[in-house]
Amino acid sequence: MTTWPLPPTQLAAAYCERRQSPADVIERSLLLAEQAADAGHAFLIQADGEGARRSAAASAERYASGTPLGPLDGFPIAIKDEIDVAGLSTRYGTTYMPSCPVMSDAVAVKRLRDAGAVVIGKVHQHEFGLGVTGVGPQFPVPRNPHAPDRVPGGSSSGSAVGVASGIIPLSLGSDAGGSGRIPASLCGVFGFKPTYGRVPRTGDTGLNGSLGHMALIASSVAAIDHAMGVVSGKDPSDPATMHEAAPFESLGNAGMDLTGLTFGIDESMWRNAAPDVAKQAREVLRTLEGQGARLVDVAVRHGELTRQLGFLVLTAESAAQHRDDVRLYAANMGWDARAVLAFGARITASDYIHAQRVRHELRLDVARVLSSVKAIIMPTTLITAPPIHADATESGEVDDDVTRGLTTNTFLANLTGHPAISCPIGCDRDGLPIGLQIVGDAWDDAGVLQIAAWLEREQIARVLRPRVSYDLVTGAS
Amino acid sequence: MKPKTPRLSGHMLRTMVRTIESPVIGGGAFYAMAHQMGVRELLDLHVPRETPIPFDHAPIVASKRNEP
Repeated sequence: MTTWPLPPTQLAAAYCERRQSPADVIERSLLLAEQAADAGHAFLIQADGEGARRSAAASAERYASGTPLGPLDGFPIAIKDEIDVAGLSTRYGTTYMPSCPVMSDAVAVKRLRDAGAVVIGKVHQHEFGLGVTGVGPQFPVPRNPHAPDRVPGGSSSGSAVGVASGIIPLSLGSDAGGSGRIPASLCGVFGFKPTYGRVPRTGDTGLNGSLGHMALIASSVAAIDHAMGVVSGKDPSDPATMHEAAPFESLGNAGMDLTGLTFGIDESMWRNAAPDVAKQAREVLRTLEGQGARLVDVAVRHGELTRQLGFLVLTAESAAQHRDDVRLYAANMGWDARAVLAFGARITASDYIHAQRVRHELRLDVARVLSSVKAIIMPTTLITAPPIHADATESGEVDDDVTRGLTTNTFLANLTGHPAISCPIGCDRDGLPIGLQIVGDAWDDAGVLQIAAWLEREQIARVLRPRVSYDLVTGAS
Repeated sequence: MKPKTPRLSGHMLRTMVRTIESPVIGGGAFYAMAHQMGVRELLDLHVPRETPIPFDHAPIVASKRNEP
C-alpha cells in the first residue's frame, strides 16, 4: 500500500478492511500537526481536537456497521481561518480580531462534514487574505516543506503546507487572486479554483467581493474530485450559485483520450517565466502533443493587464469590505495588509468602474478563446518560492517583483470566473516545486479535473515528498 | 526589461503607508505607486463608449459549451 501521499480511495479501503481506524488516523493527524509546529511548519492555528475525535468516532461506527458515507468518510481535513467552522473563531489570519466561536459552519464545510470528512481545525492564512506569500507578523510563518527558508505562498498558506507535509490530504481554502493556486504551486500540491458560482461562499465573508471563490488544495486530484462532488451546488444564500448551469458530475480519469483535444497557449503568459519554470512546463506541452493533443497560439485581449486589473478590483473591494477593520485595528495590522487597504481606499469610483468595463471585455474575449480550445495552459506562477525575509515576519513586506512573479497568471480566472487548477509538475534546480495551470471553460470543472487526473495518472503531475513530511498512516516523519 | 523595484519592509514600508494614508499628499503618493505597479497603464486604457458598466458580478459569459 502506498502511504504517501495518501490517495483517498486507499484510506477508505484501509478503513473498510479494518487496517486503519478513523480514530487513529485523526489522532495521528492532530499529533503530527503539533510536531510540524515544533519543526517550524505551524500550519494549524486553531485545533478542534474534541470535535475531530467525536467525528472520527462516529465515522468508525459507520465503517464498523458497513455504512460509510463515501470516500471522504473519516478523511482528515482543515479549513482556512477566514471560513466559518462551528465552535471555532473566524479571525481572518489575525491575532487581534475577536476570539469568538461562531455558531454554524460555512455551507461548504457543512457539506464536507455531511460526507463524513473530519475537520481537525483551522489553518494559517495571510492576514485578511491580502497577500500571496503567507509571510507576516501575525503568526509564525508555516515554512515551505520543500525548503524551510522559502515562503509557502498565500493566502491559503496553511492549507498548502498541511497538505504538502502529508498531514492532511485535503484542505478548504479560498482564492480571490490566486490564493489557492499560488501556495499549491509553491508547495508542490494540487490547487483548484472552481467556476464562479459552483461552490457556495456562504460563511466566508472574506470572499464577498466579485473575485472571491472557494478553493480546494489536495495531494491528489481524486480528493478534489470527491470534494467537488460534495461542496458544489446551489445555495440560496449565495446568489452566484443560482446561475449553475448543471450539477457537477465527476468524469474521473478513466478513458481520457487527448487525441483531437486542442489547448491554447498565450505566449504573453509565458514570456517572463523563470527559465526552469518555462522549461519544465514546455516539456509537459510536448508530452501532450505527443499524446495527440493539438497546441494552438491564442491571444487573450487585455491578457497582459490581468495582474493590474485584478489588483485594482481586489484592493478597492477589500478597502470597502474592511473599512471598519481599518478604523478599529489599524494599529494592530501588519504594514503590508495596511498598505493594500490604504491603496484600495485611494482608488476612485471612476477608476474602479473603468476596471470593471475592461474586465467585461476580458471576459468576452476569454469566452471567445475557450469556445475553440479545451483549455488554456500556462505556468501557475512565473517563479518558484522566494526566500523568507526576517524583517517581513516582523512588519510585513511589499515586494512588487514577487507579486508580479506570483500573480501575473492567476488573476485571469478570478476576473472571468473560469475554473482553473494548478498541477505540480516537478522542481527547479534548487528543488523548489513548479506548478502548471489549466484554465477551462465555464462550468467545465469536471473537464479541467479530468485533464489534471490524466497528468497525474501519467506521473507528469505528481506530489513529490518534501524534505519535511509526515506519514499519516504510520506516523513516521 | 523592467527595472527591479525595491522591496519595502520595516521603516520604508511604514513611511509609504503613512504617506498614502495622509489626507494631504496621499492622492499623489497613490498615483506614484500605481504608476510603479503598472496600474497607470490600465487606467489609461481606452474602453469603447458602448462597453457596459457591469453591476452584475456573476462573471460567467456563456460560451459555446454552456449555452442551453
